[in-house]
Amino acid sequence: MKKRTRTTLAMVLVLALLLTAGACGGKKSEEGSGAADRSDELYVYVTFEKGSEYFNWVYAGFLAAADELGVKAELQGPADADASQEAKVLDTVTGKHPNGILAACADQDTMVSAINNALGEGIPVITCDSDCPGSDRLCYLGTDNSSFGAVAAEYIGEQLGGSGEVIIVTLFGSAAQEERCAGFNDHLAEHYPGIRVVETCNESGDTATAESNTTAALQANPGVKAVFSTGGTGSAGAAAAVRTIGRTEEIVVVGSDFGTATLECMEKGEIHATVVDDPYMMGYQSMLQLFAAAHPTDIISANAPYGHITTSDIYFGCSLVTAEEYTENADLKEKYTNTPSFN
Amino acid sequence: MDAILKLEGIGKMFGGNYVLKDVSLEIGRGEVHAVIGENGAGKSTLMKIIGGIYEPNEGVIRKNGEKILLHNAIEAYKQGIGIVHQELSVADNLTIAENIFAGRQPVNRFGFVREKQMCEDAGKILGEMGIRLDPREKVGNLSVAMQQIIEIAKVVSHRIDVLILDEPTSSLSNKEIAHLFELVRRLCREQGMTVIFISHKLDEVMAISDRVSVLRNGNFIGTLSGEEITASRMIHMMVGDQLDSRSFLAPKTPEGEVILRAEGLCREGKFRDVSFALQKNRILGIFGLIGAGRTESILSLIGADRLDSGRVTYEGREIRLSSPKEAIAKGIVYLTENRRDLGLFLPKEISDNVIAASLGAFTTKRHTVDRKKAGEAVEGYIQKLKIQPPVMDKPAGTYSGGNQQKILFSKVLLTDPKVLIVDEPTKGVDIGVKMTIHHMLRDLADSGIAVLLISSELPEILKLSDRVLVMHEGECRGLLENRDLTEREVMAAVYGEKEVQQ
Amino acid sequence: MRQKMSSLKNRILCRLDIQASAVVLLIVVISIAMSFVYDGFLSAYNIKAMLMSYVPEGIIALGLTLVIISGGIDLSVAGVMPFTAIVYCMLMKAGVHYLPGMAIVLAAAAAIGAVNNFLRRLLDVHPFIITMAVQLTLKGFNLVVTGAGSISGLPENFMEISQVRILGLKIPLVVFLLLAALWMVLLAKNRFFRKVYFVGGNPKAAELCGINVNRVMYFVFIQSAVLAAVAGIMAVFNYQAANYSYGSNLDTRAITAVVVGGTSMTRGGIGKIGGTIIGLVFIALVYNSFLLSGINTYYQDVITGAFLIGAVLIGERIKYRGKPGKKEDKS
Repeated sequence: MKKRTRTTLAMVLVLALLLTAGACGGKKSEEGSGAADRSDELYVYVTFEKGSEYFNWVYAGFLAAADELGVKAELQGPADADASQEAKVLDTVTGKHPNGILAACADQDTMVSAINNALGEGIPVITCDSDCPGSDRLCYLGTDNSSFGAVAAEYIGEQLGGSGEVIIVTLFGSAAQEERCAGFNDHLAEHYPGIRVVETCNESGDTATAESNTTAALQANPGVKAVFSTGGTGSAGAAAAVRTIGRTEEIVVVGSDFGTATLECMEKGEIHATVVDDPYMMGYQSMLQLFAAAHPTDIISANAPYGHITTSDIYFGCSLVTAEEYTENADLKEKYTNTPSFN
Repeated sequence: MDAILKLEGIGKMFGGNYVLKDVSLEIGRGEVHAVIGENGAGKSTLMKIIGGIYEPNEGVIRKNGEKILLHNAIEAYKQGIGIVHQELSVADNLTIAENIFAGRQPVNRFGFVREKQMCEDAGKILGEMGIRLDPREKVGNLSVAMQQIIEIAKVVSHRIDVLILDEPTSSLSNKEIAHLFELVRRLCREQGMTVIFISHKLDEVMAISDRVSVLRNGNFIGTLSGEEITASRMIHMMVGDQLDSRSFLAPKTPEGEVILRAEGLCREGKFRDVSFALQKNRILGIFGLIGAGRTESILSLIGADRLDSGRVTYEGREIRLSSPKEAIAKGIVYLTENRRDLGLFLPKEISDNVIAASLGAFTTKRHTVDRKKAGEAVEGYIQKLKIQPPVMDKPAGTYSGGNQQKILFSKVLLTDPKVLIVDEPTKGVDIGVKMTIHHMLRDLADSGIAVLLISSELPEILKLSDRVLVMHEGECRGLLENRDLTEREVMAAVYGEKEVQQ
Repeated sequence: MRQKMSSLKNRILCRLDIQASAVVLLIVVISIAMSFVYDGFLSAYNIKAMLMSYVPEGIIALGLTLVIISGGIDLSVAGVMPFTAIVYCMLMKAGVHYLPGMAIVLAAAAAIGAVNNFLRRLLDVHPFIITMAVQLTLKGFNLVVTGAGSISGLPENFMEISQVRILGLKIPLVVFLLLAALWMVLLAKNRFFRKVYFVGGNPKAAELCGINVNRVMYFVFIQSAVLAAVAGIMAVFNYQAANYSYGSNLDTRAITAVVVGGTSMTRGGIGKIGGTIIGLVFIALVYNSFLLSGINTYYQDVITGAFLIGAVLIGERIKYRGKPGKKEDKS
């Protein structure tokens, strides 16, 4: 045959072989070593911003529980926050008929039909951390964001001796962070009425914006004595803002979560404490709940036809980790600095 | 004579210069009329005016006695005039039928093209022109010659009675040219078409034209018809009445040995069997019209382009240059005709430009440029060549054309060449600078350099060359000694004419 | 006779467009391979899920095919799609019925498309820059208006109609199939649509043929934006919500489908809707395969990129070798 046809054919075959080789070799569902042979059971965690630290922690817990139970687990989802993409991933995953799906939703509404569709196919679906309340998901596991804010408020109230001005840095439009703000404000109102929140800045999802907005707010309010960032992204930005205007010694900065940037700031003393929840535990617990849902017993459950999965939502508490605690406790440090990662 | 088209006093200016002045001529109905002239005579501009692409600044066009005003090609079509340009504009991946009816395909009420109807109509048009091609064929699969035919079919299908062809045979083989002429004759015979075409191939002109008009330097010289059309007459009209050659700048030193010899250089599609010998202290001029292959053959010689076959001997040894860099290293330097694009780094200062080809000589041990040394060298050239303004740190782009040419020369001279090849060195340059460059070239030759001068300006060739290599259509047509050589003799050599009638 | 024979051979060769054939071959090979790796791959559910995943890319790719044939590019679609989804939701929540609401956003998109071309002509800048700027502007607007949240709570009548299925298929998929068929026929047969080929191949020559190049270019950009709006409306049908994050990187995926399908970005005037659809199916297939077999998401982009390069290579070097398109020096 003609030379160019041959060349094209060769190229095509090579590409095809590459792809199928990758497909066969790329299986990344992990095996467990449980007692009963459940190794053909599959549970999928569908999230957005796949690869982000927080969700990797959730999956680490999810996977640990899966290993214990002897079932397979998988992590799927778009690398960005495109809710429509995530819904499509969920639809495709549904086609695989896993035994259970855990979803962290990019927004509150878009995944409704995808989740309901999966449920319609007989697959139990629950949500964790980012809920989709409009859907029929069996339950929601999440941080009690109200108490999250309250914990921070308590610490700041104490540190400031009951009076002073405070700035909040938060992500506008995030229900979770709005709740944290509300918890913070409520706790202050109730226990430390002498403390006033003078401004609430938007971190808009990235550290640089957090920094610039916070800097502006600090300059506009020279009497501020504390800054609370309700989200992980804003924490490093808030710390940088305080550093920029040179008042690290005077202002108490409280961050959220334990992202690498936040931890580094704590080492340097730029963040004095951070409020953390426990995504690993949430992931672990989610797996257990899903498993329960997928394994009904002889006794009919309240969630029939699914198993004995909780019928109400589960809220997990949070704790405050101060910079001293972090730097002095080796185990704690160990836990937080080794972020799990998955392909 | 039944004139279908009359041009009266047509004048056209571009940027303050007259490209055509007071051109008046008549085109007879149904005839094949050729328009010829040297490069820059204004042929193409005139055709574009008739075809509606340009509007004349002065003068009037009359068709069938009526004055017509053409603002664009569409209006020209409406007046029955169509032009086929030298650059083809076919859509490769569409069919012949669709190309012919571009934008005017027959449609049904949804605006959907009626393929069958279109192919039939196209088939009819092709048939009338005697072309046997399937209208459903993709144009991209056709040869360039056939694509041109399709282009002609497209233009003709606009129901024109005057067809203009701009250099239609420049990329055709002899057989294809015959086919084209066959088509032209048929159009005239069967459709009463009037055909005007531009060519600089006199043999073709003689083969097919009923009448020939000659332009020179934007002026209309005259029209020849029937028996009057001979090569010598045409050459005479194109070139003019110069009985004496221009003042020749004679060499002041004796002829040196042959330093560069080319034998049988070939590159498929560009040039064939090019041979010459270049002596030190002498200037060899290479003359030819556009498409002659002069620049191409030299570019292949110095390694900038491919060379298919042939032998190059330099300083007695056979060499094969693989790049201009290698050529420069050996002492063969080529000075391009296109200063802007290929020669100068316009945003950079002149000192950077001048040392560009000799950076090796001006680099310090620490791999930086030795500015002081460079400065001295550049200063020297600014003085010698009188570059204005005489500063070193202005960007080259801010200098006038003539000075840019001087800067280029400085760059070249700095590399201390043994063979200097200059391509159209005085293009776009004014008289004063032209003289300077001419004298400089002769001085360089006298100092021992062998100079190869490529030019399409005959007066320049005759003023400087000790010998003239004449090229036409990729071939050497003659090697002439410049002993009172006249323009007529050179042109005759171009066209292969031995005798030139007065 | 000889002419007739060679033309027959040419007709067959033309159908067997080498790049499209290569892609079709890949599609077949991958499908077969995947059905072994994972059974259920060829199930009705999976095929529907696969096609539905790429409906927005598909609708947009139809418009982009014309844009790229005409020699331009339109990146604003990635901003227009979420913009229309958001505005559509807002209109419905404000009480506008879902049908006139559609008309309004489609008209708005048409205006955006016209602005694209207007700016391109005014500023004499490559459409890449203009449409990229428009995309960023729209995305900024989307973010501000939605405050990074999603819009939901649409009226009952809309919720009902959006769940309607035709022949078991969701509305967005049906709309895509209809539009694809329509665009394919129009581009192949409609005289005005076909002017895009001439304009893309050689705008000056097209002008000389009497084609109003300006009108054609306005049309090209307007239809691209309008189709992006359709994709946005279909997203709302799908999710009964709108979020500023919809459609990120939509333009890249759609362009990949168009280029893999054989439309050339370097040579104007070449391309077919059929090719785009093949390219689309291919990408949807590859993505679906990745998802089902669990290949790392990051590798997906690498491999998609490799396929894009491969497709372009086949197109540029093999299919069009020796064909005019690049200018040569004359002297």
